[in-house]
Amino acid sequence: MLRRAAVLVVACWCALAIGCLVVVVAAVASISSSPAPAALLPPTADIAAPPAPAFDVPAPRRLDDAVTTSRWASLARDAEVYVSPSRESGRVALLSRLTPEGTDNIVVPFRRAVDDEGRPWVEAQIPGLPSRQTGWIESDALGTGGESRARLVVDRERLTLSYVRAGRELLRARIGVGRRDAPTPAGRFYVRNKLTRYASLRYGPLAYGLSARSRLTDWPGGGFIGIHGTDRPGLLPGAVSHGCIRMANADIVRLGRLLRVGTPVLIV
Amino acid sequence: MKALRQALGAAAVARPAFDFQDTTSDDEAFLRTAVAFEDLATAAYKGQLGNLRSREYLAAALSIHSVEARHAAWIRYLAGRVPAADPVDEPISRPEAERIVASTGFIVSRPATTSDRAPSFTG
Repeated sequence: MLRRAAVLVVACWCALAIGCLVVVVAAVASISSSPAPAALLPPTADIAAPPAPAFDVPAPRRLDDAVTTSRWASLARDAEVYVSPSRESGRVALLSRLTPEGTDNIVVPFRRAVDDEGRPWVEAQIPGLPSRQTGWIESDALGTGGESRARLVVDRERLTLSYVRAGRELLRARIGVGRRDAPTPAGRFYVRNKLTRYASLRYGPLAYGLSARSRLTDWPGGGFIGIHGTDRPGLLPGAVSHGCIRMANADIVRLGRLLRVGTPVLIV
Repeated sequence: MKALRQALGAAAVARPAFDFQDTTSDDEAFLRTAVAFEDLATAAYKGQLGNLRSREYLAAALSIHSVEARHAAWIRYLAGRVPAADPVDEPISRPEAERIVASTGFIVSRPATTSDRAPSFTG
């Protein structure tokens, strides 16, 4: 299709160039045998200059900047996740349309395919254990979404969290991570919801849910980890949690002004 | 869009969320949709030109409108349709443009990704 479109565009430009050439040749021939143009045209002194536009439209920005842009999509319905783009392949997960907190569940699509029956599929990063982070979903299960040009980096050894956008670190904070018996999982994840105004001192004033799941899978809600505040700031920094990333309340509030749902999270 | 939003200020409508359904996964469906939308955009711009009293804003709007018309002709050509089928384009009103857009189901509500429920994370 792209090739056909490119051929058509090239053909279009060639036709335009040939047309212009014919017009120019004809005009030159006509001018060379006619009176001077100035004698035929009306005086232009009385024609008002056109108004300047009220604003300038800047040069368009490319949308396919995959290096720094991550796109996410919500689930339009409960979705089965398969090993490959086929209903005949093994099912690896069933994603609920809603998260345990009642927000729309999201995935991060990164590849398309069409099966033998013409059904479109997407391969996406999904919420779950580090052992199963991607899978294929029928594309009609996906709804609208958004994009992120930032990323979050969590360093479990240095006990730091960094928020980076456009190559600039806009926030760095000391954190608490999972204890040795309940470690914070390493890998590439994403932010899937933001929780505010709940009544729980333990989680501080603000919490973000991640797609990462800890080994504590029998925890209510499935054992997903989050980034949140704390009522015990004296324990930070340190390996003190059940897998979540804890921050001082002032730091999580600062992060709350920057971090959006869908942002990639790298935990090292 | 950024330039338009700056020009409109508080009068700008909220940024919509889109779901183009299967029109982006099928070549023919994409072409048909693109032709319909480029024609619609051209007619909708024209429908609003009479409401612009500022010559400067009219000049800016016309500079966008003429490019929309080029896009419309271009995608019609790619789709094998006559690029400029009629000698005169008819404008359409804002309610009519909104009715047509609403009928596609392409504009949807934004995903609800925030909540005031307490976290169920491992803590």
